[in-house]
Amino acid sequence: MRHFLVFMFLVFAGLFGALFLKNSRDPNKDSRPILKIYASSSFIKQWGPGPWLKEKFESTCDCKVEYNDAADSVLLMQKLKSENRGGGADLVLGFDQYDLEMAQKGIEWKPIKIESLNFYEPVRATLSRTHFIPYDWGVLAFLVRQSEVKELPKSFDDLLMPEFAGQISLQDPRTSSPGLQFLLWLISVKGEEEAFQFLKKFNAQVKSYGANWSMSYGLFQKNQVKSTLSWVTSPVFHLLEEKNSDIVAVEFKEGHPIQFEYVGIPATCKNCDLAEKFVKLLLSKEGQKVIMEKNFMFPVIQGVRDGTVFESIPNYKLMDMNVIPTIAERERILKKWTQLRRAE
Amino acid sequence: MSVARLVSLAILLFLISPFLILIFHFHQTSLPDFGEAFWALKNTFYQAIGSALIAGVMGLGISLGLNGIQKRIQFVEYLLYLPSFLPPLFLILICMSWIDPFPSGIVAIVFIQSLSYAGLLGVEFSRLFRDKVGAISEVGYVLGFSKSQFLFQVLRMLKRDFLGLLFLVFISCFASFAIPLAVGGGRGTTLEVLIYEKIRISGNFSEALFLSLLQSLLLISFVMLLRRRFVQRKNIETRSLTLLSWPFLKGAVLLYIGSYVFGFLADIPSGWSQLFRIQGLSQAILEVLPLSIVLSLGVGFVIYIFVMALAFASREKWIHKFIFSYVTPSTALIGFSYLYLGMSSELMSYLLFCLGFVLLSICSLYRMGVAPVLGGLESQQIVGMALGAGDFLIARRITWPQIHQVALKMSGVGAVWALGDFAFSKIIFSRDVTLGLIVEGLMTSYRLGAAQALMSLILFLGGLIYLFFRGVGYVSRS
Repeated sequence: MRHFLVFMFLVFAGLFGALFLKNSRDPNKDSRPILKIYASSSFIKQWGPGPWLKEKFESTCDCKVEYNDAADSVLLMQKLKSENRGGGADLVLGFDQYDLEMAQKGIEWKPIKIESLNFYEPVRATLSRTHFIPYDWGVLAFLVRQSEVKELPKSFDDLLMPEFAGQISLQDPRTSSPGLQFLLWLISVKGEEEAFQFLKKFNAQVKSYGANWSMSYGLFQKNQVKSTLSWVTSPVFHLLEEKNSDIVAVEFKEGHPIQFEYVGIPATCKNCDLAEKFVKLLLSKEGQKVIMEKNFMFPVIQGVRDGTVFESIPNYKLMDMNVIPTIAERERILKKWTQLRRAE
Repeated sequence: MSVARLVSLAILLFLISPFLILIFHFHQTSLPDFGEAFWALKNTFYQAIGSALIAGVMGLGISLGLNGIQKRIQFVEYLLYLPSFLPPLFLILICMSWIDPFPSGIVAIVFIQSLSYAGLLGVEFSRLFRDKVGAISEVGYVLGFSKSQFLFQVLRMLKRDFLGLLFLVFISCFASFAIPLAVGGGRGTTLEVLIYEKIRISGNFSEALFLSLLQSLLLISFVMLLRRRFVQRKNIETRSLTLLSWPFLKGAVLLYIGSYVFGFLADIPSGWSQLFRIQGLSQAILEVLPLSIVLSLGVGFVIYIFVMALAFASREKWIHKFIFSYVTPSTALIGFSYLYLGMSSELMSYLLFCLGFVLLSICSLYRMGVAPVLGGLESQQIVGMALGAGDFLIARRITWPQIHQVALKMSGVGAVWALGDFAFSKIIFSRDVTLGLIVEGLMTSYRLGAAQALMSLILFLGGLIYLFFRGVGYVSRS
């Protein structure tokens, strides 16, 4: 056993030594300023827009871009708070409109100056928040496979049809942002009391309330359900990557909610000028095109979709997103939702 | 104060450190809605008890079939362990692909969780039979017992041992999150879901902490109430288990393995094809591969040290009872508490990952493999103490040589779990440094097939790592 312990100690000493040696010889270790960006994992992965934006920015800024995976908004806030003690993020990407109240309570943010750009109409309405600027947006809708449904549903009430019994996957509103948006969408369309009456019947149509989007979308991808809640741009992924045009986002006559993704600069930024320049790159036509094509979300600037497959996406009727429920209001609604489920 | 007591106190502090850090950090306390908490607790108990019982019945059937398999037993055992390593989404997809329409509610939760733990229990029951009744089985055969008569007597005799293993599954299901939420319907709210909700919606760590403390205290009280003695296990060579080998149940083993293996592997070829089409991904996988393996081995090594330390402190009964009944705080709470410790460097984040993951897994591993063996050494240690041997001499000559093998086996299991982890990793790490994080990234961006393919690589590497630890055990034994 002693020999085993010595052996393992030598192995780990060797491995960590190799790691240190690699880091100390790292040719990238230089004196250029490092722009620290916190973003969601889908943004910074190889298949996301992050790598292209990093390469493009580093070619002009004489700096280095360092991405940090922020996972979800709660984790992001905790990481920001813990990092701020030692000098943290310069730029944060990925908050949606429901995260902003928590973000503003948690830390201070710098106002961001942006040029007057040709924003889409729904996006322009959100620009009054000078500390957070949207860099992409998405429209929530139910997705179906055309070959599986007799008739495309056109409203919430159509989802009560027998063919959708136990055939819908949704996200749990307590653990997932799209799930919460579905609940608020329903309340916005039907009014709170009628929405909860509707849910009593609708829950029989739901096969699963997954913990997150990947759980519920995974069931849809594996043909376990006929419909799931996602974004109207999701079918583009299947069209481009899988050559599958069967999946479509159905349009509801009541209108659809929008999700914006915001960028913000913490007040404790070290490289604030670089952060502002990166925001400019995000909002440039080039940057917006890459974000659209890799994130599968709409650009905030008009003209970017022209000549791409995203141009063929119909203009869905959109809801007014100016009223965002407070955290306390959301807790009340979720409590009511939980009580409804308890009674099932 | 003896060294053994100091070691026990250090272990206790380590286990409760997340609570201490968070209590220190959040001075305010607020209490949750007790009606909601009680309802969640009720759901948690029902699904955990149901899952443990059904998994026990299935595991018993699998063990009776496994006892008849002589060749490549270790490979079959590894395949039986596999479902407990798969992410919940894959388990749900496999189950749903076999049963349509799939039920919801407690029945669905119990079904999926039972399926994921039945294999593990099957292996453990089989080992229990070999260790405890191997010799008696031969005597029974000679005396003319029928198989069912003998099985009935064995079940009566090993009642406590079986309950101990069922408790292991009960604890794991008690802390379950994703499966109850996905298929539980109205009964899908467990304490873990409530804890996560408090953190996510209102950022209320105080309430989340309170619920986590409540969860741990309830379980500790539950176990203390049962006053379960540790399993006595003697190290006997494997004997023929004719009376506990039911050949027709070999089919149950094959059915179990086949149901999830085919369900999981069916889409792997197209998944690999999708994976290779993603530009830069192969390169990224090769880059994180060494560190993933190092972290996995690191977790295994720390588990080994931890188990040996526990073995050293084996006469401090209270710490063993505590670990047996303790439910570690949820992954999110442990992760956030470690974030507050601060990650001043990459090395610090690697060390915290190893420590945090050991914290997450050690109690389950202790219940699974260490407790039964340590319990069997008690009489030998008493003899040593009576003859005047000190703690170190007893550990060196009696305890450590006999616990060494099982410690390495548990290290192997822990290392495999660490290799596929992404829930804890994504809190600790800020970049993709492990294969598990790449899997999570693929799952969250439409590429489920590629995620499945990469998961198959993780399981293959995990198998090699597990064999490494088992191999070291065999070499050091000889």
